[in-house]
Amino acid sequence: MRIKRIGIAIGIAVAMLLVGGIGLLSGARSDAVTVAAPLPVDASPAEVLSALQARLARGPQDWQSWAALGLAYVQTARRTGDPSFYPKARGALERSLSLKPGNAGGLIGMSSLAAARHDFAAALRWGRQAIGAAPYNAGAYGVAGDALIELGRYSEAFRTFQRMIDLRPDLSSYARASYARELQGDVTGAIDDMNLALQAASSPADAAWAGYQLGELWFNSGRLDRAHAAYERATAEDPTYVPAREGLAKVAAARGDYARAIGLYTWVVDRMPLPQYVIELVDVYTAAGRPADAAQEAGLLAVEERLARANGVNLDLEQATYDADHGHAAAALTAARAEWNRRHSVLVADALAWALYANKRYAEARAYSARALALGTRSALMWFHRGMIERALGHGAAAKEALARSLSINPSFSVRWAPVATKVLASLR
Amino acid sequence: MKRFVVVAAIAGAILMAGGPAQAHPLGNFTINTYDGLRVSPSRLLVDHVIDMAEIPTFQQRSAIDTNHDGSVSDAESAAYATTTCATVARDLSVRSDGGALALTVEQSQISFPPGAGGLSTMRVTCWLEGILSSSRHRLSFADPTFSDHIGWHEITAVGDRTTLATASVPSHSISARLTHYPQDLLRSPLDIRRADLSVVPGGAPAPVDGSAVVGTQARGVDALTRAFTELVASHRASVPFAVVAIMLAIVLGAMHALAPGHGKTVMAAYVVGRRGSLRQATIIAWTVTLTHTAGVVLIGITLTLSRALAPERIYPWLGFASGLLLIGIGVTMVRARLRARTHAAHDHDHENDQAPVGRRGLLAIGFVGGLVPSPSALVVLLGAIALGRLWFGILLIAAYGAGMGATLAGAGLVLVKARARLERAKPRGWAHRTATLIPILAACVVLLLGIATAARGIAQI
Repeated sequence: MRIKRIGIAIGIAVAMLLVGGIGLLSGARSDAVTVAAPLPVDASPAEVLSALQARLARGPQDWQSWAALGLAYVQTARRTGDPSFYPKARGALERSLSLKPGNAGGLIGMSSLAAARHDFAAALRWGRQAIGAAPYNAGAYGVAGDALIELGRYSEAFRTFQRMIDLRPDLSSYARASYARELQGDVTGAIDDMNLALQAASSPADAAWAGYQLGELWFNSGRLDRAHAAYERATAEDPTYVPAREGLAKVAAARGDYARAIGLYTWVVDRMPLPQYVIELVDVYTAAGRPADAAQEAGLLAVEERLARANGVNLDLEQATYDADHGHAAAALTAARAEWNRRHSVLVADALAWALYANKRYAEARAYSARALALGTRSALMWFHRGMIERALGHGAAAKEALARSLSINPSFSVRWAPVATKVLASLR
Repeated sequence: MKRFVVVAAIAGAILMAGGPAQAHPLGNFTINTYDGLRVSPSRLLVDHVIDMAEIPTFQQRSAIDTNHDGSVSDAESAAYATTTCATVARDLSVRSDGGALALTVEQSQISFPPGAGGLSTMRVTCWLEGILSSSRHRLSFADPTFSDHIGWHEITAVGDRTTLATASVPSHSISARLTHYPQDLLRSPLDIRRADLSVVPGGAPAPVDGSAVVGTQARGVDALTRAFTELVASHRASVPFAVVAIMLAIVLGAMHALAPGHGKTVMAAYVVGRRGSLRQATIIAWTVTLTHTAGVVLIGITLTLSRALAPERIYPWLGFASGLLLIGIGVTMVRARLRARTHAAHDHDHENDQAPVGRRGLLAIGFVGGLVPSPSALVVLLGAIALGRLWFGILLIAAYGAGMGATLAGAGLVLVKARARLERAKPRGWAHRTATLIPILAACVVLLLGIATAARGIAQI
């Protein structure tokens, strides 16, 4: 999910920049083409889209607008979850690059598109090309850094982000700084940076996004009240923003208010049935003692898995982890290993560790868990996984320490697993 | 269309397109809506279509499967369509000169077109009606259904014996009522939620959209089929109109028979290979017609009675059966050729290889040719049944079949003449030698076609 937030931030920022830039550029040669007035900076994503579409209908040779449109399509696909925008994005970006080969906007868009399809190696190649084409374009560093993060090449990634912030401190660079700090366990710094990003937000859509990220940071450090306030704010900024409702649902579930959580999750899953949200709803139904409803939602998950396979899409890491938890240990391990062969991020290391644990290969699991925690990330779930692996290996003291740490980071990190952590910890005392 | 064609061959190659069911073109979790408004002097008709992709369809399952037995029966889905349409009728907001207009459900229909991954999608169609008190008014329409779902939301409006002096929406659906979503780079999914019209009396009657009647069965049919379908859907049912319709059906059938398939290749190979006469070609042609008409009527009626049966499921079986029949015919022909060759080794009287063409063989060939019904004809019949004009539909299909049969008989005639010419050619000339080789080649072509057809049928089952 992290990849999504970074991606959205850069996309919105780059699209804005391009849109604004085009307005200026075309103003200079307005005798040649009739051009619309530059878009207001607080234009909604839909307004950006339709303005660009209208502009290109009048002047189809405008490679900058094609690049901006392609990027805006990638963002729309990510925000709404509607994959029909991906082929359009590819078409628009290819059009831009054929009109003006090697233009930075088109290359940044291609990188963003590759990342959205989880092809991070390609995303990095495009990002590097974009840096080569425009060494002073912050957006190029943004997409290259995102790809490096997902590939698990952290020191390069952090350097690239630093370059981006030096070039242009704005919502998308602050958001990346925040993520870099969070990965390295500096939650306070991450929250400060995300607050800066929120202040830099120029449209309600941006503000909702940054508000949600802030809520996530608070939630993951166990501060339910602050998380709730941040999610509420994001919902107020943009009532159609689905992730913010998921945040509110998560808080309700963590507080044991299952009825409210189910209401919110149902709303969310109805609109954007991402596997991650469906898994959370399954867990809440189970915790609330409604196994029939849980089974119904689990059926939806199986349907999504089938569709992903039919469409030739890799399963999400969340789904691999869910498989590990629900008796498909071998399948989970295959998926996690395949992903590990592609990239070595801490999230993949953790998923692989948990899949190995489910297959009772505890010593290997411990090695990957160590890699998952190597950056010092303060993740309750990763520490929980570590604790369970240690216990299986018979390392009582290490298990106790890891589980205690997990619960001290966020005592309500998961409706399903936090109670398990508490119980196992008690049994070890 | 091509996906259903069974015997299609040019020089032994099977020409068939089509493939596994496609994922929903707008993504697997869209819910798309369409409202087609028809404003007549006395009433407003709303053609409301809901097209749900695979995931929302699955999510609706528990709402459809009211007895929770894990399967969706016809009664359950019909009840779901009724409830859904009643809700839609309540949720749509229509105001005529500011006064609220109530809509009532005239008819509701539901179908489950196959989607990706062996899952189904869902299509609900509601025909709604509101009574207008005046034929000169301002009409405002709003569709708030599924407002926060991603998807395509389209509204169109036409005047029917009224004129829309101004209209905020187009008169024509660019998605063909949510069946073909444009893949234009410069177009986002439509999001039209309201329509404002000013209506004045007088104007031409609006044409009826053929697809409005036959629903999803019309998916993937060509322009010819649509033309044919519109015949049945058309409102007027006078005698001159019926005559024109029947004649047009004959022409359409004839043109349809010219497309690849329909046993033409087999018939040609048979007639040429066994030195059949014109009479025999005619017998084959009319057997094709009879089998075809009977097959369409049978499948059409079965489909109407049971929604569980999808044409996509029947076609592979029919294809397999016709493949087996073809193999049988092919084997008989090859054996006859081989026997004829042994005789020919004794005396060079090549009249000897004129094995008599049995009546059974002829009927079998015709049967194979007509066994797999043309989807177009099926669409017409289903449309007619939906309109309550079953008999007119059957009449049209018989006419369509007659057109097919006549074309096939014509093709047979051409072939018989062509062969006769080849044989009259100089002995020892290339043409003559070709003519003596034809029988065994023809037998092999039939056999190969049979194997290919049966294999394709099996692969799809």
